[in-house]
Amino acid sequence: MSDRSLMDQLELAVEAMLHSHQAALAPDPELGALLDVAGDLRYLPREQFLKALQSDLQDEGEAMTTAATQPVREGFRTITPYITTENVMGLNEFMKNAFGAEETFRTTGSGGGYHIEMKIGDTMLMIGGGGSYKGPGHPTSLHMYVPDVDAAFERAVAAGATPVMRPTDQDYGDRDSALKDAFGNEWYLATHKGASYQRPGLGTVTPYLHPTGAEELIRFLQTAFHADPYEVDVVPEEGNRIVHAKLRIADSVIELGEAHGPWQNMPTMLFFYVDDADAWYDRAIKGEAIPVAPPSDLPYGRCGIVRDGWGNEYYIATPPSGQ
Amino acid sequence: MVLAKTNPVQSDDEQRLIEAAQRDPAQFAELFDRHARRVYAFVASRVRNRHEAEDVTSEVFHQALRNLKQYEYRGIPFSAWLFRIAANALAQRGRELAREQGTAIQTEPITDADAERRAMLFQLVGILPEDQQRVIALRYTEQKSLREIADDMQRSEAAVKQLHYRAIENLRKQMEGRQ
Repeated sequence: MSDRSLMDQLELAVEAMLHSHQAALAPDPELGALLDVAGDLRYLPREQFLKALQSDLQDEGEAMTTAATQPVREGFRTITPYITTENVMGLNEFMKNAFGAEETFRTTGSGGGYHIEMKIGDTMLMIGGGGSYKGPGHPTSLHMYVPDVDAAFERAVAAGATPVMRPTDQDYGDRDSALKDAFGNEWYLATHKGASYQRPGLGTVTPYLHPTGAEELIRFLQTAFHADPYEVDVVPEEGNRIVHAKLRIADSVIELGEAHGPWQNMPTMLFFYVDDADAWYDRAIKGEAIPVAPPSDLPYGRCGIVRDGWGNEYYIATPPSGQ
Repeated sequence: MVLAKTNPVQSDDEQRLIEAAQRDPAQFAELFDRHARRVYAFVASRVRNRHEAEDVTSEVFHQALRNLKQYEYRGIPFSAWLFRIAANALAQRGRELAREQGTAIQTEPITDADAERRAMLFQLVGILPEDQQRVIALRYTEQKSLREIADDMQRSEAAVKQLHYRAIENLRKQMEGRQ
């Protein structure tokens, strides 16, 4: 068939198809192949529609991102380490003397002990215990950036901490040290040798875990809390042992490294402030977290508790509106 | 325009895009760009007109964005997840219309493979010469006659007919090379 004849027949068939909304049939295979294409083009989306929808989705996505990065409780990030100890007043004094911590809030907790909120640099910490609280202590490991690690180390020792490692220059660009306090907590004091004494992306204080089975814990945190392991350092000659990893959860970071030497698993408590405690709790349970207490309404908000296979407990809370 | 692969196996690149959008929903736009034509093709043959196709497609992507954190690969490609949302949205719409009007919609449902083929075709339209693209858009999405298109483009009817034929022929050849 000549091009002209084919062109005319195509035009007639397309015209009929567009008006009848039925696919056109053609006895000629050459014309049939063209009509197959034309038939599919009836479903071609309008570019203006796609652009407008993409713009709407962009706006909605940006709004969701903004909402996700708004602090759920003013001054707090998503994750706050929560240390419990029988001698909470002793810990309170130590943190003030050793690190210049500022007490911002104190109340009696639901278990009859004190609940105290402390601020060090840009980071909030919770400590609890004492009073009639007879529950277990939860010491923890904390990685803290200070302007002058040598001076901070001496100040902490003077306040009663036991030296574990004196300040030492590390090849990863930090000058590090380690101390243990009288309440069982480990403090890794460091000064980053860069534009700022804090590493970019980290707050003043970051919780640090030493699980046996770091890879499995990372996997758990990914499934339970959508953690993003954005930095994982391994030693290939030691079976890819994870020496250090940073995981981002919402606006917070958790550090961890495989248990070794004196750095062993220390079940800790992490307090999550989230926009929807029920949704986060459900997701954690689906991610194989162990249920401890389902979300319920408490004086400080709606809160549920889960645990992982390493004994770490995660309080998942949404504060009452207006806080 | 980058032509997305239309096979159902999820690439690492796509997986990274999904994870990025799960962390930061503002990055969903790129996933939309990859899948919009595919979903539209899937939806359009199951509804009565373009207006409904746009409504349902819009609903599918808004739902996908809001529920993106619930998506996990586990062998189900992202496109199949979107098709499932689309199928649910269409079923819901069908039930509502049947309740309101007492009749079920008669449509020409297509297979997922047909939707993939149409998605590829729609992407190929984007790489046609500009005047051919314009003729295709006016003819099929605006449903304008040759005369109206000729007036819009300030060309003769014969020239528009020729552009239309060349565009369809180009697309046929391109599709043949990809099937």
